[in-house]
Amino acid sequence: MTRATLLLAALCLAAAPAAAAENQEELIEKVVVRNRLYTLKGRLELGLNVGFMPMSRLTDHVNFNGHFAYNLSDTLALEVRGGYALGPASRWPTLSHHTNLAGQIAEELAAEKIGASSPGTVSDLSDLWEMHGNAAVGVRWAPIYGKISLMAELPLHFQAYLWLGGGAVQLHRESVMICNQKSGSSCAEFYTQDKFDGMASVALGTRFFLTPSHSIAIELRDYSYRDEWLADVDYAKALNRSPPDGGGTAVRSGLTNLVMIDIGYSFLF
Amino acid sequence: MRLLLFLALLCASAAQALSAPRLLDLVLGQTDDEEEEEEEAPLKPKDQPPPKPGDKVAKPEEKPAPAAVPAAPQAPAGQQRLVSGAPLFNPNVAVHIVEKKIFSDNGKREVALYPLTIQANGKATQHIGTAATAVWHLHENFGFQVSGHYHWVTTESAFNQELIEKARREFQAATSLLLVWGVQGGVEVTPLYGKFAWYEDSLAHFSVVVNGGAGIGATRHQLKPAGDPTSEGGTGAATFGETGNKFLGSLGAGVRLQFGERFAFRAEIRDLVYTAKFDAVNGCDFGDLDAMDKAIRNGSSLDGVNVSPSCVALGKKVFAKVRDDGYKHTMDIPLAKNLVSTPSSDVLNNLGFYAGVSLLF
Repeated sequence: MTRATLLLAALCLAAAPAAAAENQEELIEKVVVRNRLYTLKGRLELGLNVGFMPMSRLTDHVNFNGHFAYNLSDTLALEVRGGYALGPASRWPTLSHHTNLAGQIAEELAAEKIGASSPGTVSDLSDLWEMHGNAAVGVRWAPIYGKISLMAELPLHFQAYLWLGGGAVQLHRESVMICNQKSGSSCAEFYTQDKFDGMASVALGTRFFLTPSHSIAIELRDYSYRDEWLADVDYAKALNRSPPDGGGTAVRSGLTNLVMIDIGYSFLF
Repeated sequence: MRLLLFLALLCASAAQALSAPRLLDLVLGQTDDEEEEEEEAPLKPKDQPPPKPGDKVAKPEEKPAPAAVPAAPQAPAGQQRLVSGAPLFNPNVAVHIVEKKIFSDNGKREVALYPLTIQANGKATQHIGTAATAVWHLHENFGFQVSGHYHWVTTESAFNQELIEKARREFQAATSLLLVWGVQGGVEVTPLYGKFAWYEDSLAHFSVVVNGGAGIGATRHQLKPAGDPTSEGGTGAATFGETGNKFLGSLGAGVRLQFGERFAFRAEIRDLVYTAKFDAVNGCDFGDLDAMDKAIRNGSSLDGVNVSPSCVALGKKVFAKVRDDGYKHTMDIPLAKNLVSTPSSDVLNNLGFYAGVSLLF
């Protein structure tokens, strides 16, 4: 009896601190993250963004945006954003968004067709609509809140979020195949179109808090809008502007996706 | 027996008493700043480095917490409190930001399988495949790795096809070289470690991984695109010509999300860089292909054509084959000849998303 009592007492003494330590670790683990250092609920924010395309084919954009958001909770926010996309920096302030590849194709094909006695018909390339003005309303859902250590000592708090929304875009299109005016053996003016259309946008990003009022974000954002191009265009008719579209038929071939890396700053009121 | 029951009750209440003050400290009595300090205490007393001149020290005025936070009952007056093994409120000790890692990598092996890798920058080509990586973590933040991948979809991009069909233009042969498989060795470092909460309840630990390596990869080039099944090309399946093994390098970065001690989820972006010099197909250079093309046009067989040894070893055999659907690979000869007629070279970047799971042991 005495031995059993002593044994139980010893086990008890050994187990109690261990259990306490375990509980303590668990509590610290959960509480420190749950109690967010930077809370957003009910706060307004205003910011600026710049986006660039990591990979461009026929068009290139640098998109400047402003945004205004209201945080409904720590994880959910409503955001309005709008801005204007310019072409490659080397061509500013012109609004031509064609890449060098598109320019090369246009130049070579024009030289080939303008010099031909019977140029025949051509079909334009897809994904040539360029985004100029853009505005969208969306929901930002940030279920993930975390922190990392930067250089071993500096804590960096962050949110990972998904952004979903839609809006309108001002689109411009300059053909690389349909020429409306020649200059010698090259094309002086290509067929152009302008329109407004709907747009959907989705983004995945991370926002880093610098202070309770300042944050920066980096995100991968996709702008999607309908693509449309002309097929079976009579090259000679288009060149004489009778009519400028050469009697081509419009083909809808799905969506154009502008994928951009977007970097932004927000001030939280 | 009564004594045993009494001791058991005493034992349970003691354990409760030891944990209760922490609960009060953490849930009821703290500000966010205090919470930060408590979390950022990674070192056990035995690991605590001696303070050095110039070390960042916690200033007493920045830590008014002793007045706000009730002292732990077990800490005698004048003795510093230990929180998660670290002495807080001691101005001579630098308290590190991130707590000790729950799961240590030091000395462990890790095998990762990426069932799906997708090329993200497919301007001229498109690759989809599977990859695997083995990492030996020599140190908590450093390890050696061996990785391999196989692309089970290698094709020229739809954009390239559109250029061919509408503008009769295509990327130069070296730019549209396809990478079939590759193996490489290298290193992996984990410079950043952190944690996050999903909403309020679930806590996850993650590390940022950066890796790089070098090795070798097998390449090929599309000769005939997939086409109309009723055409002369049989079922219309694409045909390819081998273009040899090339030097392969890689640079990647991503996130490793820990699930328990043995499993992790990995999401990475890897850039496979390979050199592409395009001057032969299936071991046959322009002269070999030209000779075989002339023989075919004259109605002769390939047997009597004099070609280089490398072309005899591979090219003549491949081009002489007839596919099950009736497609004769001799039809690939003029296509290959056209490709090598203008030798080209390029350095290609195959940027891909990698998502997979890993096992640590």
